[in-house]
Amino acid sequence: MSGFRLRLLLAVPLAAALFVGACGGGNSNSPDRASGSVPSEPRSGGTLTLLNQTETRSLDPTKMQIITSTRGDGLVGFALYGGLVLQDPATGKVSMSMAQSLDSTDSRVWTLKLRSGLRFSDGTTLDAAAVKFNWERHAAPGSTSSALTLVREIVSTEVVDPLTLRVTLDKPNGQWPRSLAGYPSNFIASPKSLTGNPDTAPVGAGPFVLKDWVRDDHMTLVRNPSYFDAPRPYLNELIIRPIPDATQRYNSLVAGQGQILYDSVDFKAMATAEKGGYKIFRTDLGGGFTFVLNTSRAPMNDVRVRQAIEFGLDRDVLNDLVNQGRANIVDTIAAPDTPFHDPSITYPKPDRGRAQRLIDQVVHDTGKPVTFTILTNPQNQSTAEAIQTLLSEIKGFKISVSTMDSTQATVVQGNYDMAPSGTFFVDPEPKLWDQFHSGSPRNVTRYSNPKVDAALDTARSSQNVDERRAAYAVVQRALIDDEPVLSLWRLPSSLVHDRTVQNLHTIEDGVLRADLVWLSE
Amino acid sequence: MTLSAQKTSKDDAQEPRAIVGGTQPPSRAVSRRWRQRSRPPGHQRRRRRSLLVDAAAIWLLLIVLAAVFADLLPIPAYDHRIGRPAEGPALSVARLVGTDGLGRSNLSRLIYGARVSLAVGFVSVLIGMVIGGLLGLLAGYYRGPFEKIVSIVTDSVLAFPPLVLLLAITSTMGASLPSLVVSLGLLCVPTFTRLSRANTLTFAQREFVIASRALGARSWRVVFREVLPNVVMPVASYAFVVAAVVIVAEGSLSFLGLGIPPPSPSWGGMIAAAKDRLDTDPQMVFMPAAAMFLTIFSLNVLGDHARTRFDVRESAL
Amino acid sequence: MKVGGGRRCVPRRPRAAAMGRALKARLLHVVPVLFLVSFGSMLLIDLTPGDPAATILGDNATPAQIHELRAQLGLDRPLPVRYASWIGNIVQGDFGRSIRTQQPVLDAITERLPVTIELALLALVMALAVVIPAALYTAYRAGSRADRLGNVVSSSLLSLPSFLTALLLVYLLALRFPVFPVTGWVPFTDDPLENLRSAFLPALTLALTEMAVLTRVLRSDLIATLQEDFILSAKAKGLPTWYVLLRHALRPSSFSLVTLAGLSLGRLIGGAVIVETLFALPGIGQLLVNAILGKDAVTVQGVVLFVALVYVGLNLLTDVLYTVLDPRTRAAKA
Repeated sequence: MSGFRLRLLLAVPLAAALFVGACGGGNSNSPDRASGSVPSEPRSGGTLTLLNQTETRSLDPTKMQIITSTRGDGLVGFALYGGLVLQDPATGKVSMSMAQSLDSTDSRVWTLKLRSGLRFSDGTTLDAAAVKFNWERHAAPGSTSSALTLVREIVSTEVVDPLTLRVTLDKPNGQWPRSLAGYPSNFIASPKSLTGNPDTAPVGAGPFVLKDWVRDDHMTLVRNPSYFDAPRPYLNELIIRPIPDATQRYNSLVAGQGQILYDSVDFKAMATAEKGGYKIFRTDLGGGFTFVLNTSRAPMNDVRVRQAIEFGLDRDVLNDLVNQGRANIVDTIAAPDTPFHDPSITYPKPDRGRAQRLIDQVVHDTGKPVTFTILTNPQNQSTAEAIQTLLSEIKGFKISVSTMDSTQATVVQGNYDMAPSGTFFVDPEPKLWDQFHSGSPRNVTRYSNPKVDAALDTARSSQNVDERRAAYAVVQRALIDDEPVLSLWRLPSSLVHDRTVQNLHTIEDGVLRADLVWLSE
Repeated sequence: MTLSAQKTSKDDAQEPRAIVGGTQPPSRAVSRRWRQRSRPPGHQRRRRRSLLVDAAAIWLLLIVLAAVFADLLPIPAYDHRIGRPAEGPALSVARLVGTDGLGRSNLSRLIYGARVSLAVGFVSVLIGMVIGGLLGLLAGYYRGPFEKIVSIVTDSVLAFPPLVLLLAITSTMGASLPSLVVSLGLLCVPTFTRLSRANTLTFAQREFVIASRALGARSWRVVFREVLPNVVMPVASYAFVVAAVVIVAEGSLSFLGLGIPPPSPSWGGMIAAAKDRLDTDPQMVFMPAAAMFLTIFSLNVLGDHARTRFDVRESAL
Repeated sequence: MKVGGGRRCVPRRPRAAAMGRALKARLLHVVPVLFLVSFGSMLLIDLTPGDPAATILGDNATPAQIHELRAQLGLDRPLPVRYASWIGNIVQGDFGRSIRTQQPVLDAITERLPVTIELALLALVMALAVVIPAALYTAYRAGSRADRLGNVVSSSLLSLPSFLTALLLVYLLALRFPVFPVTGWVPFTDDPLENLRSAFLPALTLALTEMAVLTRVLRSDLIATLQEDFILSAKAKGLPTWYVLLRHALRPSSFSLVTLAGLSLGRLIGGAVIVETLFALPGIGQLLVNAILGKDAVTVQGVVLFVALVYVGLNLLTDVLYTVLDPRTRAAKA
């Protein structure tokens, strides 16, 4: 075949491809797309496309996780169902939304008063009976709800009148509204839709209504005209797209396929976004990104090993290796500028010599090296590998790394030595209690310290700030001494967006309040 | 090239006709027997031992030797930090090609990584080729119930999404070099079986096979002396390609978290680890990718050269 | 005349009976394959570590709850019993519901299989469009500079893992020159042109590796064929080179190509997970991997069975192609 003919043959498909591509036209989104000044009045209308990390699995509140931003659950749950009460992560304050009030005189019997006129989008009324129905569903036998810990605290619920529900707890819990705000028991779905066909989605009274859902592709939500908080939501439409790869998520934002994205771990992508002119809305939280240590079995049951890890790991070096130094190292458990921050209770400085001595002792006592496996998921593999490299510089450690797509189930069953986790809180309640109180199902480290248990109980039942502060001081000191978790750095929950997105607010650990957002064009 | 000119060079090769019939294209098996008599004198063979072939051989030798004798080389251990992360090349042996994301010597990791990549590339493919090739050969020649069973099992394995098999095997055997090599090798078997069977089917019908049987050769002799040499060619050329694919596949597995567990390096794993730093530190991706490219290219060059050495005839076009 | 293996030549018979026999032979092959595949998938799920009940219950699992849920889901019955009950449901058209998402498995599959199939077909078409001319040329001009360049190009394509290719293509063709979208999928029924645009980069990523593999294989076979005397006689007849290449050389050299193309297609359908993850495509690969890792046996079995069915269909096509390409196999197949 002659050279010319060959070149022609090759040129044709290439030209076709370019033709097809050009027809569609590219639309790139530079962050400064908003022309002119931003109006101060919220503009009603527009479609917001949010690029998320993962996708919620189910729309049934009893199948949603704790309200968290890292999966789709919080965002979708709030959009569809709104919330009875909402916790603002910036201030820690719990405000009323669909509830009018939630009060108690003795922290044991709580009276929930709903707003009047709340309607689900299938026409039925959101009343106290509906709330009771939902909560009983969470507590039903065989329920796999993540709100079990909360609903198990409830001894009885009594419908006093259509808008009032009286809740009796088994133990006083002064922070109960905070718990309510953090669990999907906050999402009330229409009882009629819950008892109907399991293939149709449950219906709520939130700011949006579900229009369509193609799994792993997109979810379209449209404004609910009968939302109680008119004129909100400002958006006409909210589209959520899951894009698992962080780099591609950012690329999609740059290419204009979305105006806002959610990210929780990729410091580099966030740095690139900032350099690219995008704005970042951060929700700073207490606690941080941690590796939990299984204190119920060897070698982590020996406090010397845990302390050796603490002293032997220089977090600044680790931060440098993994995040190019971008993360904020955790010095204290409660974040600075929060009510329970005590600058005197800090993690110790790294001390290689001391770590080596501790390990030498352990090796001498047991007669063999300290062997353990770091369990990790692919996102945190580089961190696990870095920890392995750094700790291996202390003689006596024999560390291997095992990667598993989802470590959660294995961790819960106690089949691990060290695994990535997180403790994120605005107020220590209810998360700190859940994680460190002995017997709590979320206490994956199996940490058990009676002094800490007592302090956690006090902090939970009391509504007095000073009492709580003293109790949390005890808890923080003990956690630093006993070292059941290895705390690394703060994880800012971040929303990266272009300049058209206005009025960002979040609840819990960074869940976007889609009802308040508006687009300037 | 005129017809007469072609005929002249062909006279040297003295390709005989097959014994039965005068219009059959000669087979390689027959030509092999006659090769001793018909090999042309060396100076007439226009095979330029080009520089490329020599370079390819040298690279492969270097890589294999380095991988085998890695422990004896004056390089730091592959899991020790020697400096700051992502440094560029410097003048010491350890820092010859810089450091990786955790400050470990790239040179060490490339050399030790060669062990994993080469083991995966050679051993897995060997497993696949030997087992698969043999199964396909026997199935294609003997036919009957044996072929049916082999066919059913092969199709079942092929119909399985490969990731499911890999996940299952690595979960049961644990993620380590042997389990990875075995599982990738097993995954290669069905393809080789099919390829081998397809080629055996063609050649088994050819008249030289019938002729051989007519001469009274036993079955296994026919299979191994007449059919096998013809089947080896396409299977072996595919094997070179598969070796490349398998070496790269290990990298994709690392990307999914299923590859060799850290801190053991592998070329593919190094690429997967550095993928997010493509814009800031592209050399971290470039180094292992270059090592892979050179190895794969060398394999291809040598494969081509090996074929041209065994094929006496030139293209008829 | 004896034809291979000592089998008798088949005397001419009415076409219907011959087709009937062919069908019976097909079924005798297909049914055991489907059985092995579906049973094997159930077995393999059992072998992977983890407990679906624990995965569903997550953070709140107490051993008692896990035990209860296992009984509820029927997970503690022996393997053959579970398999039999699953088969019983399948033949009634009930593929069950995903343990993780409660979505009917059939819905999940019909949503995503078309995406994966389209991607696989597109990738293969793209690959073949390049492979056939490239292999023909480099085989014809074996040893020339063009051939060596072809070797360099195919080696470099082979040494790029698919995730790297994907990112490089995105940078080049979606960001630097915004010709194609970065992520996402537009269904064909919504907008055919947009569909092709969203499929182009993922298909090209897959195609590049296949191109490299298939070109080398076809080239190798072509070089062997070009040495044959019938090529020489065709040329001697005065036929133009390109005609000889296309009409006489390509056909007999296509065996390996057809075999491998068919296998590629099967593999592409089985799971282009990485490409699907990076381009956020709702395909079978992601569904399958998530189901495996979540030990969602119902979904895995349903998906694997479907993929096997598609694959078996492809086999049929390949076999038909064999008989078209080489008449000698027709008799052998009887």
